[in-house]
Amino acid sequence: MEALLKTINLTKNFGGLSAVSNVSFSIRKGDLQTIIGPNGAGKSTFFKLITGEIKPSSGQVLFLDQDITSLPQTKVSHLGIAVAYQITNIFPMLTVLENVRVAAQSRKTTFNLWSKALNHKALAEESLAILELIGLADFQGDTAANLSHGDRKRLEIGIALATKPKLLLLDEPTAGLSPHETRQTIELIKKIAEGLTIVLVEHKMKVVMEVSNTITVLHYGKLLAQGTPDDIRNNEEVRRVYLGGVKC
Amino acid sequence: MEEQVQKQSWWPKLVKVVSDHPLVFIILFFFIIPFIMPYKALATQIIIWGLFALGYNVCLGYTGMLSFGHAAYFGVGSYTTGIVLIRLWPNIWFGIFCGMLMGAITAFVLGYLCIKRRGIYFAMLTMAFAQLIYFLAFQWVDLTGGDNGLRNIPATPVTLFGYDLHIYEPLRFYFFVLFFVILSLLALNRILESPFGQVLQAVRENEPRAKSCGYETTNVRWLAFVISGSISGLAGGLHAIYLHFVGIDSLYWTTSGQVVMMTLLGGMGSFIGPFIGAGIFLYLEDMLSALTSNWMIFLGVIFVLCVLFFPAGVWGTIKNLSTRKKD
Amino acid sequence: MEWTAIVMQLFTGLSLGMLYVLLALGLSIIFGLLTVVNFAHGAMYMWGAYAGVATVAITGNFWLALLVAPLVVGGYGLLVERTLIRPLYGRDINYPLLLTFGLQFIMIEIIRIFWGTSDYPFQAPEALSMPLEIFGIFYFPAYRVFVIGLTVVICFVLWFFLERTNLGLIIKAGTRDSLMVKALGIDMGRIWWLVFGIGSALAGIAGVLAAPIRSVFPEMGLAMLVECFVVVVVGGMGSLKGAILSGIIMGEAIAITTLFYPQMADIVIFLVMAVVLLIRPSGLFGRAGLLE
Repeated sequence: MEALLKTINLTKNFGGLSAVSNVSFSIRKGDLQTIIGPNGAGKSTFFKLITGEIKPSSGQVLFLDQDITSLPQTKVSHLGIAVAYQITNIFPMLTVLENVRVAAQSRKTTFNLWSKALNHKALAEESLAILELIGLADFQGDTAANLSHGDRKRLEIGIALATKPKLLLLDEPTAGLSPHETRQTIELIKKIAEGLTIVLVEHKMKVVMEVSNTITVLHYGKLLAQGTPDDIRNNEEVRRVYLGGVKC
Repeated sequence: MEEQVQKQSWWPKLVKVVSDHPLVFIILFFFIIPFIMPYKALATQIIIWGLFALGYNVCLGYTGMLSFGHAAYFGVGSYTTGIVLIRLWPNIWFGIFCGMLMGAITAFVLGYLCIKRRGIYFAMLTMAFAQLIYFLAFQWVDLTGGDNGLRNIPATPVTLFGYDLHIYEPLRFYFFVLFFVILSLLALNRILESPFGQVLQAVRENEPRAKSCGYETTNVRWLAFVISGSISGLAGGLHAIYLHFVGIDSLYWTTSGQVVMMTLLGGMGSFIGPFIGAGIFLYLEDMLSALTSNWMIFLGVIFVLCVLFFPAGVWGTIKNLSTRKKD
Repeated sequence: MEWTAIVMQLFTGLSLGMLYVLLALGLSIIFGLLTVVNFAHGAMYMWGAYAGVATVAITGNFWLALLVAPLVVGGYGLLVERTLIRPLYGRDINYPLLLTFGLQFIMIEIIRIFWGTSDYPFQAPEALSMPLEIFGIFYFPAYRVFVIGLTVVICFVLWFFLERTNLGLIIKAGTRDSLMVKALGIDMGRIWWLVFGIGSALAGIAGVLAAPIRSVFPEMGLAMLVECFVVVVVGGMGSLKGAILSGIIMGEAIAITTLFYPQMADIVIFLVMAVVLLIRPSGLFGRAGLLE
C-alpha cells in the first residue's frame, strides 16, 4: 500500500551533534505507528522536521508523494499534518471552546474582519463535536489555563484535530497523566485512530503495546528497528538498548 | 455585617455588567465627561487621546506587540489632515479620511520592516523608525513648517443638509469628535469579534501554536499593526483640527511614550482602559501643570508605581479586585 | 573639497562614535545579562553631564568631575536595580522597560528643578583646549583626542575585566546561559546588581565626556537614547563587539553626511539601520532569535 508520509535519509545536526541521523521512515494511510526510544533519541526533533518547524540538514520528507521538505510550517499544516505537542501548547487565556474553534477556523478564513465569529454556525458545531470527542464539552466556557493537566493534554489533541489533519503527530500524549487519565487518553486515541493516520511518540510501554499497529525504535537519532508490537517485543537488540532487558 | 455583604454583592456585579457591555457604558461615559471636566476642551482632548490609545491597544493589548513608535502614525495623520486642509481641499471629511489613510500606509510600510521582530527588539525598531519620520518632517520645512509646526489649519465649516453645524464651539466640537470615536469603537468591536479578532487573540496568547495551526501569524500581526496605525492616524487628524495646528512634537518619541503610559495606566486589552488612562493622564496634567511646571515628575512617579504594583492598570485592577472578592 | 577637511571630519566622527560606543556598551552589557532594556540610559547620560557640571562648579576640577560622574551615576544605577528593577524579575520582559521609561521623566524633572531648563555651558579643561598639531597638516582639538583615547582605555579595561578576571568570566558565562551559572551555585542577583551599576557608570562617563562637545540640558538624553538603540540594534543586541563597531560606524556616518549633505545628518543612522536590518536581520553580530 502507498505510504502517506515518508522520510528519506532525514538528518538534522545541531552543531556537531546529530539529533536525527539518516532516518528513513514511512507510514501507510490508516496506520497507527509508534516511535519509541530513550530520552534524547531525537523523537521530538523528528516531529519538528516533519512539520517544517525546523529544516533538516539533509534528506527529504514526502507527504502524499509531494516533497514538503522545504515548505514552511503553515503550508504543511494546510496540507494536513497536525501536532499535539508534548509540552502543552494551548491558548491559555481563551476559553476551551475558543481554543478549538480558532484552530478549526484556520481551515476556512484568517482575514475575515467583518462577520461575527459567533455567527459561524458550522464552525461552532464542528468545534463542539471535537469537545464531545475529547470529553471537554462540559468545560467549553472555562478559561483554558484553569483546566487540569490531563484536560489540557486532551485539549491539546483537540486543537490538533480541529485542523482536520490527514496525519496526526502525537508527542507523548500521556506524559504526566494519572493511570485513570491515561486510560481515558488511550480510549481517545483508539477512537480517533479509526479515521486517521497517527504517528505517536510515547514512553509508557503499556500504551504503546495496546494502541499501535507498528512500532519504530529510534536510538541516538538512528532507526534501530521497525515492526509489529510482537516483533519489537522479541527483538534482541531493542531489548538490549531500550527495554534494558526487562520483560514487558 | 449586613452592609458588608451588600457592598460585596453590588460592586462585583457592577464591574461585571460594565465589562460585559463595555460599549454601552463607554458611550454613556462619553456623554457625561464633558460636563464633569473643568472645561469642555479637556474632554475633547481626552477622547482624542483615548482614541489614539484605543488604536494603540489593538497593537499592545490585543496582539501583544509593544510598539514605541506610534507617534509616527499619530503625527503623520495630523500632518496629512492639516496639509490636505491647507493646500488640497478644505473639506474636513476628506482631510480626516486622508489622515487616517496615511496613518495606515505609514504603518504598512514601517510594519514591513519591524513586524518580523518580536518583543523588545520590536519596541526599539518601531521607536527608531518613528524617529526617522520625525527627522524627515523636521527637515522638510516647505511641507511641514519644520520646527515651527504646521500653522493656520483652516476651520472649514461642516454642513448638514445645507445647515452650518458650527462645530468649532467647544461642546459641539466635542460631539463632532465623539462621532468619530464611536464609529471607531463600533468598527473595532466588530473586528475583534470577527474570526480575525479571534486569530489576533490566538497570536497574542501563543504565536507558535497559532502558526502550527496554519496561520500566517506575521501577516496577522502586520494587519493588526495597520489597523492600529489607521486609528492612530484618525486620532492625529482630529487632533490637528482641534488645535488648528500640528506641532513637530507630535512625531517625537515622547508622544509614543505618552500613549504607552495612558494605555498602561488605564489597563490594556479592553475598550474602557485606554479612555480611563487618557482621562487620568490628561486630567492630572491639567491639574498639576496649574500648580507646578514640573508636573511630569508626578506622572512619572504614578507611572512607575503603576508598573510596580498595578501592572493591570486602573481598569484591570478594578476587574481583578471584584472577581477576587467573588471567590 | 580638501582631503584634509575630510580627514578632520572623520576624526570628529570618531570622537562622536566613541560616545556612542560608551553608551551602547552600557546598554548592551545590561541587556545581555539582565535582558533589561534600560530606557533611563539617556537620562543617566544626562545625569553624568550634570554631575560633571556640579563638580566643576564646586571644585573647578575637570579631572575630578571625570571621576565623580561615573561614581554618582553608577551608584544611582545600583540603587535603581536594587529597589525598582529587582521586583520585576520573573515578570514579563516588557515591565523593566516600561519602568525605566517612566523613571527617565522623573530624572529629567529632578534636573529641571535644581538646574532649570536652559543649556549649561561647560568648558573643556585648560590643558585640553589647545588644538593638537599632527604632521603640521592636521589640527585636531586636543579634547576630542582625549575622548578617543579615554574610550579606548575604557574599552580595554572592560575587555580585560570580562576576559581575564573571574568575575568577568562569570558575567560572560551568564550572558550566554544564566541558568547554567546559577546551577554552579553563583548568586546571580549580586552579579546583575553589579552589572547594572557598571552599565550605568558607563552612561555617566559618556555624559561628562560629552558635556564640552555637546550642550548640557535636561532633555539631552532623549534623542541620544534613540540613537543608542539604533547603534545597539545595528551592532546586534547584547554583543559588545557589535556595539563598538556599530558605534564607530554611526559616528562616522553622521560626520560624513554632515560634511556633504547636512540636512541628512540626523536621518542617516536610521537609513543605515534599515539597510543593515534588511541584509542582516539580527544586526552585525547578533544571534538570531535572541529574546524574541
